[in-house]
This record gives sequence, C-alpha cells and structure tokens, in this order.
Amino acid sequence: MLERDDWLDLARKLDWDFSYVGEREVFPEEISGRPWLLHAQWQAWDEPYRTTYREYVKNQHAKEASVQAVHEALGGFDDLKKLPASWLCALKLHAATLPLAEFAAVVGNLRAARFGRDSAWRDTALLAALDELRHTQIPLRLMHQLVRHDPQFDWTHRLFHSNDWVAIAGRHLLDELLLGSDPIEFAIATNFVFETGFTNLEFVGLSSMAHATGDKMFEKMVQSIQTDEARHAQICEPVLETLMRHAPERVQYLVDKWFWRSWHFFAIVTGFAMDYLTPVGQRTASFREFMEEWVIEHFERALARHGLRRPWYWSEFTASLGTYHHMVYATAYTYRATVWFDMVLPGPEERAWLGAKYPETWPEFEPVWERITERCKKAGPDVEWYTHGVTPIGFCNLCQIPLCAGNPRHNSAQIVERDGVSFAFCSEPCRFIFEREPERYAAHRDVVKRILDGEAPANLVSLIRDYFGLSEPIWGKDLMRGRYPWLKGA
Amino acid sequence: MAIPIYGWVQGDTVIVVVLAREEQTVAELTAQLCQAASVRVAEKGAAYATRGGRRLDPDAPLHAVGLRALERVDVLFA
Repeated sequence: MLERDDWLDLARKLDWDFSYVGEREVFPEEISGRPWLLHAQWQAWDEPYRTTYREYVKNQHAKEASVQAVHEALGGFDDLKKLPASWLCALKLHAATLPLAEFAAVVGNLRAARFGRDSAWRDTALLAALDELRHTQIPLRLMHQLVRHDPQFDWTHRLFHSNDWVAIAGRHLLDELLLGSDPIEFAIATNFVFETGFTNLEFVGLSSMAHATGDKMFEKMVQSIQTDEARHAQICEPVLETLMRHAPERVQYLVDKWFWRSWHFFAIVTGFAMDYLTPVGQRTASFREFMEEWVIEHFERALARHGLRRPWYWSEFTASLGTYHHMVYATAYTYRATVWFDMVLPGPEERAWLGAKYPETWPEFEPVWERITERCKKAGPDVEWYTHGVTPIGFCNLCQIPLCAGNPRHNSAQIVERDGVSFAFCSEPCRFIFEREPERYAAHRDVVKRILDGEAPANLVSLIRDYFGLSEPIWGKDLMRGRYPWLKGA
Repeated sequence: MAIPIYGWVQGDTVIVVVLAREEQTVAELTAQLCQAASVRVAEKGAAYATRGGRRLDPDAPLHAVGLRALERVDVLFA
C-alpha cells in the first residue's frame, strides 16, 4: 500500500501536453484570466494543506457534527430570544448578506476548478467550492427556524432577489467578485484580498462579540467557516508568486481595486454590527481597532511579502476608518425603512463610547445625532417618519452605496460626465476603478437613474414598497420605537 | 422643466437628490436642500449655495446660472 505522500502528487498533478487542441483553446484567456502564460509557468503551483478528498470529507464531517451539536444544545428559538434585540438586528443583516454571497463563491471556485492553470490549483479550488457550499448551508440551517417567528428574518432569504438598494449594491460587488471573475482575478480578489485581508473581522472580531453577547451559535458558525477559509485562502499564494514574476502591475491594480471594494462591504456589514448593533457592554473593541489589528497589520505584511505596495489611496482609506461606517449608519438610520432590519438610535452611553473610540472624528457626528434625537423626542414614541428622510438620496455609480464618503465637513462625491452621461462617484478610488474598466460598469444604472428612467418610483414609500419589495411589517424601524429610557431626560 | 440636482448640506452624511424647476431661484433650491437634509442637519446660520466652490447668486433663477441635470450643489452656512 502506498503512503499518502507517495501517491498524492500523482493524483493532484494531472496536467499533460495537449495533442489535438492547443493550450489556449483549453484555457482561453477570457475565462482563465490574464496574463495568459504557458502551463510551464504555473507547474510549480502548490499549497501547504495538500488535502486529499478522503481527508476533506473526514474533517468536514467532524466540523458539521460539532456545529450540529451546538445548534441542538443552544440554537432553539427560546435561546435566541434571550439575545440582545440589537444583536438580532445584526444577525438579520448577516442572514441576508452571507448565505447567497457564499453560494456565489461556489461558482467562482468552480470556474477555477475547471479553468485554473494547474491541476493542483483546480483540485484545491474544487474543495474550496465544497467549502463555500457548506458556508451557504450553515447559516441557512442555523437561522432557518427564525423565519417563522419573525417576518424580517423571513425576508432575509429574499434580499438578493429584490431591487432593494442593499441588494443592488451587494449584487454589483458579488457578481463581479464571485460570479464573473476569471480564476486569476478571483484568486487575488477573493482568496487574497477578501478572505486573507478582511474576513478575520468576522472570524475574530465579530466572533468575540458573539461570544460576549452569549450567541454561541453565531460564534460557532463563523469559527467553523474560518477553518475552511484558512485552507482555501492558500490558493492565492502560489498564484501571486507566478503573477508577480510576469505582471506585477496587473496584480497591484487588482489589489487596489478589490481592497477598496471589499472595504466598503465590510464597513457596512461588520462596521454596523460592531459599533452600533452590539450592546455597548458586549463590545470587545471598536470596528476601527479590529481593522487596525486584524486587517491593516496582517494585510500590510502580506503585501510586503509579495513585493506589493499599499493601495495608492491608503491615506484616504485610513482616514475613512473613522468616518465611513458612521456616515453610512447615520444615513441608513434616517432611511431605515429601506432595509429589512431595525436600527438603534445611539444614546448617551453609546455616543460616549464612540467618542472615546473615535476621538478625532466622532465630534463631527455628534450634531447629526443631536438633531435626530431632538426630533425623536419631539415626535414621541411610535412616530417613525419624523426621524426619517423623505427625499431620494444619491448612489455611487461604482459601489452602488449611498454617496456617504468623506465626512460631515466635506462629502467627497464627484459628478463626472462621460459621453453625455452623468456619473456620480462617492470617492476618488470608486472613480478610479470605474475609469479603468468603464466598459464593465457604465451600463449599470444606480437607483437614481432607475427613478429618472421611470423604472422605479420617485415617491419614497412607493419606492420602498413597489420597487424594493419591503412591506410595513418588514421594513426597518427604530428598534425601541422611540421608547428609550434615556430619551426622557435627553 | 424639472431638473434633478445632487445636493449636499454642510454637516450632512449623504448627498440627496431633489427635483428642482429651472425657473425657481437659487435661494429656493437652497431651502429645498436644507429641508431635505433637515432630519439630520439643523440650520446653523444663513445658508448659501455653491457650485464647484463658487457661490451662486441666491436671486438668480436656476436656468440663469446654467445649472444642469445631475449637477452637484453644496449648501454651506455663513
């Protein structure tokens, strides 16, 4: 009987010279990615896990059993009812954005499993596709029971099939990142930037907050997912090694592009959860602190290891660590009926905490929350619309997120005319990305253009109901319906 | 004719989109933008409108200042 290492490479390294077709026909540049290189340039491809399918199945079975055990012990509806109400809002945000994003990643990995340029790469990508299928199923399984108890949880399954602005932004990002990218761009964008760069925010940061709130199920879920991510994130290392020898500037561009796009995604999904929807007492650190420790430090080391530079907009990025998610949250709170989860009006304790964590930038946001608080108090309980915007807002033609970049002193949005058409960009990096590949992005219409074209209604209530697909029981409200104990004395 | 305008009010967290009429004045547009942002921004003094960093005449109609669809106007407080 052969030992594992005696036969593994025979099974993983199954590339051969083609006789009846050319290599370019088997791996067309349009699907395999560029730079297109002969296989000889890729044949040293290897990664440290070198997992066999038998090992994979055995390991995954053990992980599934562990998740199921936690689910059976602590995942009942009565257990979830004990969690802080605001944390459930963060769960709704995740329940909507996580499973189908993971499912889209199955497609990206399967493309690499066919069109990746070395058989070991293809083999590893196949296991990664199975990982992503699992990451789709775990949150669906764990949170499914909530569907019948809460219509907002029920709606989380519909998000990506709707025209809600979050879905439009999410699809714009994830379709390109996961469904449309070739294996080379996928390896850099997803495996390197998104997974190696950012997902520790969830696996370490938000996991620690889940632990603090007592949500063992969420904690177990993200930890179980993390064990897979660590393995298939390794795909990027040998891809980068080859690319840096042949096309370092293309790699740098893809890093610049995807770091910015990923940053916006996590600033909302994780930033909201950490700095607003986790109760103050359970926050283990601020979103910025987690970003600095788990993203910036790690990612800078990874960039240096591969001979890459920081993205050119680094100073803009580091400045936005203290502003961007605060800008979007304040905006989203005052347009909360456009989302499917309730939002919290930060009270004195929360604002003091945010002030301590963001001493340079939070004072700029204080007047905004003072204003909203004043209106909330004036309106009294159960009056949503006095603290809700009624005018449409602008969206970025690249990231499709509201024009919230910059700070309350200066909004960095730019309006650019191109071939007689006006485009709005929230920031210089979004404009840069658009202008590098306009043929990819120009035809996509943001919410404002859909309204102007008559496809979507301009009236906000009609827009929410008829176009975003949210009805009154589902759309987001103030979590406490204005009944904050602290508001009486505010 | 109605023209959509991107507007930002000093102190706000987002850019709003209002539908203005070509014949309305800059002052009326300024008030419209302040109203649109009023849920988040309290007016802090006399408001005035700028485009590309240049102050617009408050009494001028929008067509006279050449404001076009989907241009950005900023409202600042004196």
